[in-house]
Amino acid sequence: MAIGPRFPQVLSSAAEGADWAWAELYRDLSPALLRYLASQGAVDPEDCLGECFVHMVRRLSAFEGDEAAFRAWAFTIARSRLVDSWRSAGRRPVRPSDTVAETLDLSQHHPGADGGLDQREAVREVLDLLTPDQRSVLLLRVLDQFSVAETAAIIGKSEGAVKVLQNRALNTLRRRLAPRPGSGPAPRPAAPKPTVLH
Amino acid sequence: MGLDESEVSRLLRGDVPNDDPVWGEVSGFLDTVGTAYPAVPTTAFEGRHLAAIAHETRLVQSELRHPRQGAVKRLFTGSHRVLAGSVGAFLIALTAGVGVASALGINPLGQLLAPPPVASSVVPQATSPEADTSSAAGNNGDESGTVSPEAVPGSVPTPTTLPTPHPTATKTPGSVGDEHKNSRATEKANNAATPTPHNTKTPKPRITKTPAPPKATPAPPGKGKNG
Repeated sequence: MAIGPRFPQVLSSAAEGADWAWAELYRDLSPALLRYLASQGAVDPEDCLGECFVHMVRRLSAFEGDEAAFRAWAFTIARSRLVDSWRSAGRRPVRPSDTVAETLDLSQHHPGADGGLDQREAVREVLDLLTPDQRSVLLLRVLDQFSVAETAAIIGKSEGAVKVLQNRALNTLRRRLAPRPGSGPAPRPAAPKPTVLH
Repeated sequence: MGLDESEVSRLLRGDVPNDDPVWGEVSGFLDTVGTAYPAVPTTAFEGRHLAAIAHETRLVQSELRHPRQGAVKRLFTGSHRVLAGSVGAFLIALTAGVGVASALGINPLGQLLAPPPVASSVVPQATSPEADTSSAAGNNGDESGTVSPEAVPGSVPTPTTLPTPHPTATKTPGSVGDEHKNSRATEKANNAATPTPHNTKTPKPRITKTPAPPKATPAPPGKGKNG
C-alpha cells in the first residue's frame, strides 16, 4: 500500500523524528520487506526487519528521492542486513526460511492450510533450482515489481548482471517446467484451490 | 537463448498468457510465486519495532542538536585510528626489517648499538710481523694496553677486538716466510688494524664503519716471528 502524494510530508516529518511518520512508513514497507527477508533465507527475518528500520533512521539524512526511490533504498538496506545475517550464521542459505509459512499458519489467513502449504512447498522446490542471486532477482522483479535499475541497486550488481541473472533464471524455469515429449505433464505447482478468506 | 527485455517485462508482469507455447508454463508458475511468498502482516511485532525506531530517532535528534560532541568524537575516532594504524605499520616494518637482517646474519642492533671496534687494540699484535718490514724497528709502543707481543712471544697473537665482517687479504712485503705463517692468524687482526703506510697492497676494507685509525705502531723487531 503506497503512501502516495503524502509521501514528501511523511518523509520530512520522519526526518524530524515524528513517531507517527515512522509508523506510517513501517506499516507501508514492513510486509514486503519481511517477505523479501524470509524468501532470501534470513536467519531471523523479524529481527532483520527491526534492524532495517533502525538503520533507515540513522541514514535517513543521506536519502533523497521520491517514494519509489525510498522503497528501493529500504530494500537495499534490507539486503545489507540479510548479508550480515548470512555472515553471522556462517553460511549462505540455499533454501528460503520457513518463517513466512509459519506466520501464515498463525495468522489464520488461509483456512485451507494443507493445500496452501503443498503449493508453497512446490513453488519453493522449483525456486531451489535457481542460484541465490537468480532467485533474488526473480523475486524482486516478480513480487515487488522493481525495475532492472532498482534491482541492480538493491543487490549491488550492474544492470547487465541483473539481466543475465533474470534471463538465466527464466530459461532454467522454462527447461524444468516445460512438458517433456512423450511423458506426462511437467511438474508444476498445483493450482490454488478456491478458499474463502475471512 | 536470449530474451528480449520487453518480453521479459511482460512475463514478469504476468502479461504472458499461460497457454503461450514457449513461456506459458513459466508464466503460470510466476503467478503462483506470490502465493508462496505473500505479504506477511507484521502486527505481532510492530510494537517492538516501533519502540526501537522511536529510541533511535531520539538518539539521532540528540546528535543533531549537539553536533560538536559527535563531530569531536568522530574526529578523535578517525585520527586515533589513523595514528594507531601508522604506529602499528611502523612497528611491523621495523620488526620485519630486524627479522630479515637477522636471517642474513647481520646483527642490526649490534651495528646500531655496539661501538666500532677499536683498531688500536690490535695494532701492536697484528702488525708485528708486517711492521718489521715496513717500519723501522723502534718503539714498540703498546698503545692499546692489550696483550703485548712480549707476553706472548712467538705465538700467534689473539685479537682482542670484535671480529669484523670483512675479511681483507693483507700481505705486506718483507718477511714473506713469516708472513705466511702468521698471515691467517693476523688477518683478522689486520682487518681491524689500519694498514701501514707502506703497505700498499692492503686493500681498503669493503665494509667498514670505523674510521681509519692512525698509523700502526711498529712492533719490536724480531717479535711475531715464529721460531
